[in-house]
This record gives sequence, C-alpha cells and structure tokens, in this order.
Amino acid sequence: MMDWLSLLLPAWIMGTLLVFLTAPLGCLMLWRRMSFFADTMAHGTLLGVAIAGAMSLPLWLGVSFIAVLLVAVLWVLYDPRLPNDALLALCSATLLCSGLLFIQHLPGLRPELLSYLFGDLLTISWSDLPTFAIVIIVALTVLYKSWQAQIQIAIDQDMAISEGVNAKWQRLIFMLLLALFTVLALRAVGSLLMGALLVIPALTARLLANSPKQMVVWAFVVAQIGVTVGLWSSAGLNTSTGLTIVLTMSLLFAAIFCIQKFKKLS
Amino acid sequence: MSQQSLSTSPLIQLSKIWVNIDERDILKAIDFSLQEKEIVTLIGPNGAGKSTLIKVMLGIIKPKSGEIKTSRKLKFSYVPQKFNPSHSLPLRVKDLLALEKCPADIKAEIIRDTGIAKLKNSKVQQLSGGERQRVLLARALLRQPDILVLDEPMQGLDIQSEAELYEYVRSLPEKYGCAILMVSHDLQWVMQGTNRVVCLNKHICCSGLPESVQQHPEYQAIFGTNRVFYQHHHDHCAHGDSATPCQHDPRPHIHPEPEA
Repeated sequence: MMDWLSLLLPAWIMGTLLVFLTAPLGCLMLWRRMSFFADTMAHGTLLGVAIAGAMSLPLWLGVSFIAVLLVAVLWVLYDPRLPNDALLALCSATLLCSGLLFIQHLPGLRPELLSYLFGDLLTISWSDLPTFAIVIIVALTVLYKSWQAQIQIAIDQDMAISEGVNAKWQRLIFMLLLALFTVLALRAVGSLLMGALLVIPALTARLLANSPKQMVVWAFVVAQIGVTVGLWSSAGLNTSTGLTIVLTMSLLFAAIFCIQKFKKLS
Repeated sequence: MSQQSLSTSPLIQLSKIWVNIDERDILKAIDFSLQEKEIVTLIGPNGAGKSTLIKVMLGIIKPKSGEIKTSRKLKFSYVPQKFNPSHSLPLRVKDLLALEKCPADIKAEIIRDTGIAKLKNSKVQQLSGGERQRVLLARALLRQPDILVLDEPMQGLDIQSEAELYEYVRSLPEKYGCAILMVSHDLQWVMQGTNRVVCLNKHICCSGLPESVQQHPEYQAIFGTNRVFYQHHHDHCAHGDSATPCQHDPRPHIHPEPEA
C-alpha cells in the first residue's frame, strides 16, 4: 500500500497542478475556436522529442523548439484562400508523421514510443515537482494578466482592438502558453491525448456555466475529478493512466450531457 | 471659455488616408477630423467605405498611407454593425457590462437610460436586434469614452425606440462629454441630430452643416433632389418632433420594447 502511494502521489500532485493551467487555457481555447491549433501543437511535441533525442538535448528544449517553430510557421502561412482549420490539419498530420518516422529510426527512443504518444504519469518523481510548480505559477500569472484582454477578444475582436487591446500580441501570448502546456503535459498524457485534457473539461463546463468565470471553475472541477478518479482507478484496474484519465473525463461529459437532455425531455 | 480653445484643435485628425483592399481602392485621400463633443454623421451609398473609415480611425484597419493625429491619448468606444460572439462563450449581459470599470452611480444611470435593467441576466447571444443595440450602447458608454463610434445603431429598432435612441444619443455629448461619430442611412437623423454631415463615396464628396450638404450636387447625385427634408425646430419641450412625451422622467432615455 505504501509503495502504491509513493508511486502515485507525485503523479497525482503533478496532474492536480496541471489542471490549474488546463482549466482556463481550455476555456479560452474553446472561446477563441483554437482547439485545432492546440491539437496540432500537441502532435508536434513528438517531433520535438525526436529532435531532442537525436541531438541528445533535454526533451523540453526540443518540444519548445517545435512549438515556437509551429507558431512561426502558422504566422507565415496566413492566406485568406486557405481556411485556418484545414491548414492546421495539414500541419498536424505532417508533424505527427515526421515525428513517428524519426522516432522509429532512433533505437534509443523506440521503446519509449508508447509513453510519448499516450504519456506515463507514473514516471513522475518528487524531484520533478518543484520546477513544475514554478512553471505553472509563472504561466498562470501571465494568463491572469492578459485574461481581460483575452475575454474581450473572444467577445469581439474588432471591438477589443478599437478599445486598445493589442490582438496580435495577445494571440502570441496565448499560443506561447499553449506551447508551454504541451511541454508540461507531454510526460503526463502524451502527444495524442493532451488536446483532450484541454477540450473535454472545457466542453463539459460549457454545459454547466452561465458566465466565463463559472466555466473556468467547472472546467477545473471536471478536470480535477478526471485526473483524480482516472489516476487512482488506473492503478486499481492496472490500465494506462493517460487513457483512463481521458476516458473518465469523457464519461463525465457524456453523463452531464445525457442528464441535461433527459431533463429537457421530461 | 476653455471649451472654445479646445474646439480649435480637433480631438482626432485623419489626413490623406488611402485604404486599398485586394488592389481595390476603398478610401481615397480622406481628410477627416472630429472636435470635442461634436456629433458627426457619415452617410453614403453601400460600399462607400463608411465602415472602413470608422475602422481606420479605431485602429482596426491600417491604411496604406496617410496620417492620424490625436490631441491626446483617446479612449474610444465602438458599437459595431455586426456583433455575434461565439455560443461557446457563456456570457450574460451583466458579465459583459462588468468588464468595464465605471463608478456605480453613472453605471446605474446608463443602465436606466438605455432601458436594459431587465436584460441583466439574459444571454448576450439571445438578445433581439433592438435589445442588442441598447446593451452595446450601454457597454460603450460605461467606458466613458472620448469618442463614441456607432455603426448603424438603428438596426432592429422599431420606430418608437429609434426616435428615443436619437434623442438619447443627441444628449450624450453634453451629459458625458464625448464626441460622437455615427454611420447612418437615416436622413432624418442626419438633418435633425447632427452638427456636421460627411458624405462619403470612397472619397469625401462634401461635408458641412446638414442644410448646406443637401444643396451639394454630389450629394444630390447620390441621394436625389426630390426628397422632402425634415426641418428641425428645437421645440424639445413640446416633444412634438420626436418621441412621445414621457411622464415619469424628463431626461432622454430609451424604453424597452413591450414584452411579448
């Protein structure tokens, strides 16, 4: 029992900390219709891992590099003839394929492939936590400072600009925060699942909230339940933690959605 | 008086503004200025660049060339022509209003005068056209702007509330000290509500007092010569010219639409 606890506790604390960032970030992502972007960036982490592995650099450096590169590429790719969501789908597929190809040819990384794809929260140790906590606090401070401007842009971009909000700057801040999130979430839920960590709690919260603030709080609650229930039950059921966490959140969404529909009918 | 010295240098001055979108000239060599507490109406045919000119002034569109000078750091409020926030954003009227910092007594006054007290808990995305215009106007005023910009604010309003809105907008420069720039198709408002009219058709055709603008040949080419213009006689007390007299409150204000 003590072994379990010492294995799971750091993982659980890390998940809990991560949720402080995913709740507001996920809501903003939904409001600003950027979920494709988040997914693309998440898939890009795989290539980041591969590059870092090949050049024997720390993983976070490779992942950050790809994230910043993607922001730059999307900045350049802007063309009114090409719809943004389709461009993101293109980038997403390209990044995923090149990441996978690359890793398959790196003998050192190949055995770890599954954990990069789906995460392995249980590899987190106590020594990882302080750095992690500091990064989260910095990210939250930045998010807090730009929150009002972000909401104004989500309401109406033109109105926000005319009233003194620098929309481009705010967009960059948002993208960089997402990039930071992907670096933090890679070990926890992996490349393929981190989009879900943002989007599912936010969607569930939308069903319950009447105001932006309420939505962030609900997203926090849903994600926290997902992480906690998912993590501890994955230990009991001997299943992958990342997958179990995401499925727990999906179940919550489905349950709340069905209850609301059912109430409306009756 | 200090007011007169202020009115000699404009709040904002646009000179030689050119805007070019997809290789088409949208605005050509526009010179435009706005004085303190002035009410200016922009008129012109569809596609004349009225909204574009507003957006240039607000900093939303960057002109290809030209210069914008302001007398000091200005605070703008903008009521756009279209306002469709995403349904994924849960937003009630009171959440929208809470984003602007404003002293409580002024806030209460604005909410009362625009007649939106009952809408506080409504979802922004579900407002009717007229309700939306009133909420947006209230939000714009809460910012206590130097310049209030209204892009066709009469959409979705019935005749009664339209008259009330005109009356209310006309009272704003005195009450809150803002200048107003408004796009309008409504020639009646132009004639009775504005200090100055600017007639735009990619370039500025003519501008000046409402009475003089309608004599201008370019104006007549666009709007015709045989319209009967309304002459405004300042008989506010009788309320003969606008909204029906209101018993409970003599100040200009807007009534909510009757509930269905």
